[in-house]
Amino acid sequence: MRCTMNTKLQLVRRAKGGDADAFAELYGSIYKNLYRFALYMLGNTADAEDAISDAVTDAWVTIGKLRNEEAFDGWVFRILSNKCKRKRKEYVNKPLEWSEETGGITKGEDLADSYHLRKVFGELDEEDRLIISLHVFGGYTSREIAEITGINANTVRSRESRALKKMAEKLEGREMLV
Amino acid sequence: MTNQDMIEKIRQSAEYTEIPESLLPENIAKKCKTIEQEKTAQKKFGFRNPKLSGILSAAAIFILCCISLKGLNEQREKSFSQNNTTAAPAEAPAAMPEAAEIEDEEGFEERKNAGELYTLAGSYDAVYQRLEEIKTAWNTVDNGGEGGENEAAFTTGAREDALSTQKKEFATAETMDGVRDLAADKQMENASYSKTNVQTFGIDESDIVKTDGKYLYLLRGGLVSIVETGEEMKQVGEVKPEFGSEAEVCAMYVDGDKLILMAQEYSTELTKNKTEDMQEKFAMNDMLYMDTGVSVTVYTYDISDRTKPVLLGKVMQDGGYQTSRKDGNIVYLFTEKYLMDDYENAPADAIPEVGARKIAADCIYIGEQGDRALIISSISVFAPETVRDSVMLLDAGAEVYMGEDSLYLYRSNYKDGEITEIAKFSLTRGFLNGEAAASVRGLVRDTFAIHEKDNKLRVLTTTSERDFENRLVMLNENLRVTGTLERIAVGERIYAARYLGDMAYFITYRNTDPLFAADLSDEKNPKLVGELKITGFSEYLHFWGEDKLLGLGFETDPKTGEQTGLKLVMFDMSNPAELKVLGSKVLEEAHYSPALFDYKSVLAAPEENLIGFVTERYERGVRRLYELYQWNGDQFEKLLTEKLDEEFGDENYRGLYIGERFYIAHPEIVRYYDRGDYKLKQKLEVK
Repeated sequence: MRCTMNTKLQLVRRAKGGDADAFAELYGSIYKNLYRFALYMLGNTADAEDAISDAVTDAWVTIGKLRNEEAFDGWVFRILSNKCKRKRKEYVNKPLEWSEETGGITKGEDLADSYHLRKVFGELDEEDRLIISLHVFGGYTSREIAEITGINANTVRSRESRALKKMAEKLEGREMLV
Repeated sequence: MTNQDMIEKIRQSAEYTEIPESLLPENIAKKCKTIEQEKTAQKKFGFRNPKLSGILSAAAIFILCCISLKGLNEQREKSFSQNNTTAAPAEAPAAMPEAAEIEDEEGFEERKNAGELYTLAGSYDAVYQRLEEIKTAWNTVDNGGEGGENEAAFTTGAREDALSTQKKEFATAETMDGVRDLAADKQMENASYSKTNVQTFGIDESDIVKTDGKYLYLLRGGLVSIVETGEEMKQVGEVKPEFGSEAEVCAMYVDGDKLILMAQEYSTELTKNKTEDMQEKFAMNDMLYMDTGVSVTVYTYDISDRTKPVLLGKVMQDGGYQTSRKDGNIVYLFTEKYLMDDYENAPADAIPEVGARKIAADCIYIGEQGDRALIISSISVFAPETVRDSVMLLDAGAEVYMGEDSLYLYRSNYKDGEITEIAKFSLTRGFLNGEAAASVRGLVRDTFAIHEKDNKLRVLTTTSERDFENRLVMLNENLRVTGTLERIAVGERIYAARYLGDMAYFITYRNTDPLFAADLSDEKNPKLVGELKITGFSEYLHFWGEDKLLGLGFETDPKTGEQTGLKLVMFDMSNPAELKVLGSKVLEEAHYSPALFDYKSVLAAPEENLIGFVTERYERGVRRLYELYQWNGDQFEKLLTEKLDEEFGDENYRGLYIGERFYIAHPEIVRYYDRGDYKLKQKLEVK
């Protein structure tokens, strides 16, 4: 057990002072969701890995400039979503092309279900995917998502609700085929 | 299933995601320490090139492959024999080819015949048949079969180059109007106010902010606000299509006294459950089923009185908005729809409607791939209730490039390596017709890498199957390859491109930024004539007058690849064989700009000497600025820096000028400045 209280704020301050372990600890509290977010935005593991690697490097090198120390998680997500956008620019085909090979999900009881779900998710607009990913993996509210993405908060809500309905509908339709 | 259930399902689907080892916190800590050491060693602030980690692996392996202009051909064999000379770093791409199997690249292109991409369905039955095949393929996957639906055995018969002409007749008067207006539209291009930054000169694209030199049109959500400019800005009108809450306007065009809006609408209706199976399977007591359809409606308004816009007509098209263009008085709308759901409901439902009628069977093309339909319609500004022409492509979607004469639809295909498949459609006053198709090796990586001149196409592609390598392909009117330039900049990939006259200019990058100039005047024999290496790389290029080229990208440290900030650079291309840098400016504190991927967000107006864009700095959370520069002949001079509103993100700001006034316009807030001193004159919150 650690003796010191590693509150997030202290960690951010230490990281700002150049403490890589503190930074890694901060990262450690969100990295799974960062990776899931990148994976669901990009659809393949190699690009998700790249995007995070790039985002984390940027975050580490610029953390000295982070003024609002409580905003660390959102700040990293923001950097990552920029990285994902730039990656997406390189893709020529718009929809996400998931494949089991690159989908990065290896175990779990409902592998087939997850596969279907991700496929349907991949068919959403990029913006819808961004909104839902920020909600699910970043845990953000629609107001916070509005701030991160620049999309009006009401639009965020209606888009998300619509996209989720669409997914549910497709999923139910597709499950029928099994 | 409620939305909350759905959220939970998505969360669960990701629960067992395996995280790559390199991303584990302990490895990230190591990485940070290494960066820290490098930083200390350099005693210099900077941050690593985000692209480096991706490229580093390739670059390290192929470190010796930097190609000289002379050695293009000799390089062919060499590059792969050097695979073993450098140890691959841990993050090397997984699938490196074991042997140096260089295939005959020319033969590769020959194999794919032109015109094979999309064939006319001829009948709805052909559409149903294809959907049935896709469904069968899906079921195979669902039952645990190998491979995705793309590999399904769709056979395609022999196809013709030219596809049958659609014959429709329109009133002569309308056509005459069209011609007249087109001429007027081209004349307006000399007026002194900003135009939306577009891909093809003369082909307008939608944007969230437009101006006609007197008014600003601001698009957000479901409405357009009209703001009168002048000494004092005033909000004078509003255009709000009448639809339910489930809609948003996704495109806007202004044409004299006409305003054209494209609104995506969702119709949700409650219907009975589709099948008894489903009720049983899910034991649903609830017999009602939510049926959601999406469509785009084109609304045309008369705005001669800006305070009282009048709807002139509207026309609806099935599918979700993909993109749109406007050429003179003709608006083109591109929507997309997945047909399988409707097909399973009832086959006839699968055929999308345009203008309240099902698309005619002789307007439907079938491609090789999926159930995703691309629907393209043209509508004249003068006949806003009528669809002039429409076609549907049943395939897997495509990117849209509209050149001066033709429409090109291109898409990536990974079936036999990285291939770009291109289909060409003629556009004769709004009538679309299939012309030809081609496959070229490599992927189109930049919006501006594909370009039509004199009805001929030039394409710059990048392959990344082994090392990155690039090629330039020249295609004639029938999309037959007339000449190629192979293996350009091995180990690097194209970041930005522009074509001017018979020249192509493009940027590739590894750890310096080579600007290449290629002479395309001989269609059989394009030649690289110039190359210039500088540090950093440009992601966006814009011609600046007749002999200069503006680049916007990043500065990097050539030794380490560390990014040290955004960079503006002015190239001199008056002599393509001796490309020069006239001046550059590094914005050291800026980490990101939407200008890097969204050309519409860039103001690049050589005629007024203005260069404007939004930058982001990762400090205090994220700090956003609008920055405006001018080029004084030797260097970039800052005209204006404005701190932007925290609540609005970075993507919806546009800088524009009208005469002596400069505006930073966001759909919800507009600032205006006098161009004499660039002092803020007024800030208007749009209601």
